[in-house]
Amino acid sequence: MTSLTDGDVAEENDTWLRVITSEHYWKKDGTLHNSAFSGGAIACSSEARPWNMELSGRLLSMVQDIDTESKEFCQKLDRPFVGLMFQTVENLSKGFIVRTGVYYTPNEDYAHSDFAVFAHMNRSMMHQLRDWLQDFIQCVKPEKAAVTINALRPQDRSALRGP
Amino acid sequence: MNRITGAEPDFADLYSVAAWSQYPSATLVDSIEDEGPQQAITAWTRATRNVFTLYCDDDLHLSAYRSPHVTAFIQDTYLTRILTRLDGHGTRDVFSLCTLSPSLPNTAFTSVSIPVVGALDSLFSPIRRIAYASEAPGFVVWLREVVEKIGLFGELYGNDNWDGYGAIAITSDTVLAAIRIANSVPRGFGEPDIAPSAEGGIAFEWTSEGGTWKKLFLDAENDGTWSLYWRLENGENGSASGISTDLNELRDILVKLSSEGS
Repeated sequence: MTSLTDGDVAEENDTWLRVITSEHYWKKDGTLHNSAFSGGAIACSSEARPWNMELSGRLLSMVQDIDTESKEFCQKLDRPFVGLMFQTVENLSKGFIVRTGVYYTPNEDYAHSDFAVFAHMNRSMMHQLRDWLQDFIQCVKPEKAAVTINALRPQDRSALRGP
Repeated sequence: MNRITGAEPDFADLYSVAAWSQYPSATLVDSIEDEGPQQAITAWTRATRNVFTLYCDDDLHLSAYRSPHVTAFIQDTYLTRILTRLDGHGTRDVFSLCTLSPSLPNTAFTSVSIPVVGALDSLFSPIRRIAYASEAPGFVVWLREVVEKIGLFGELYGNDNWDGYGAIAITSDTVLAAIRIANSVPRGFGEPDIAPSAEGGIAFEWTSEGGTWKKLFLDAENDGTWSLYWRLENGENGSASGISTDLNELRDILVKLSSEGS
């Protein structure tokens, strides 16, 4: 079982990732469209959380089979699995103009986690956030997802994985 | 009939079509009412529920593109609203343009092209069209592709939670607002990357190397507004927003950014 509980900050060497379900998020140059980090995806925190905005995703340390689980996620939506975006917790927790972080927030998805922003965001700041995330969040297409993502797993992660 | 005059001397002054008498079931449902870089209107046919987008090129040819993808998202309430607006201008049933045939094949973006020059006197509208003669001729091509893609978004992202993370559905109003916005973009920007936003909007993006600006994000929001963000090469950024029925400010900013980047 994991040592994290709901609301805990994720470990710096963990990786936050998010399934991409729209092929239109891939730009012609092979990078992600800024809209992949937009709007309702970064929603006002709906629960009693200390942060103001959040972008839902998953923690790699909680994921057992990235390929299968990503495909299952998309199948439930009747959407194609078109890739994954990912970045280390450490990198997502520093560098923006306001405080950010990654927090473990399990729901029906045991691995669910949020990239969180601790500030009220007006439209201009939302654009800045999208710009910032676009510059350094990495992405991978399905055919290379498993190899790429599994290479990011710390060796001692297996003991933390959930049921 | 009122012919609108008063064009700036450097612009070609063209006139759009609000309806055409030989296709009486067709009527204008959307347009850019302001001076714009592109002659374009979107028309809806009550009988066939098809949507035509009309473009007037620099060479004074009018082209019509039909998109069944857009059609599915036109709502009667929207049509009613636009007709009311047109009634206010006294423009219904007074225009004629003879060569658009209702028998166009029902395929996406079937196009016809007819000369406007000879028919110019027959084309009247409260909507004055301005064509920027200096802009790239490839604009119409990418605009057509962009409009086609935008139309698809209404189908692909028309249900809530389409991304599995609580995304808001894209509505027909947003589709049409995005088409209006696309029509307002100066030609020199080239084809944008377009994507749905999880907030129910449609987002345009341009990137540039070696110009003044590096990134440009333009969103047709789901609340009837647009929002623009740009980051300059020197790292400075800026933003603006407004309502999607008034694109003057947006166009002014884009023209300014375009000229600074050239």
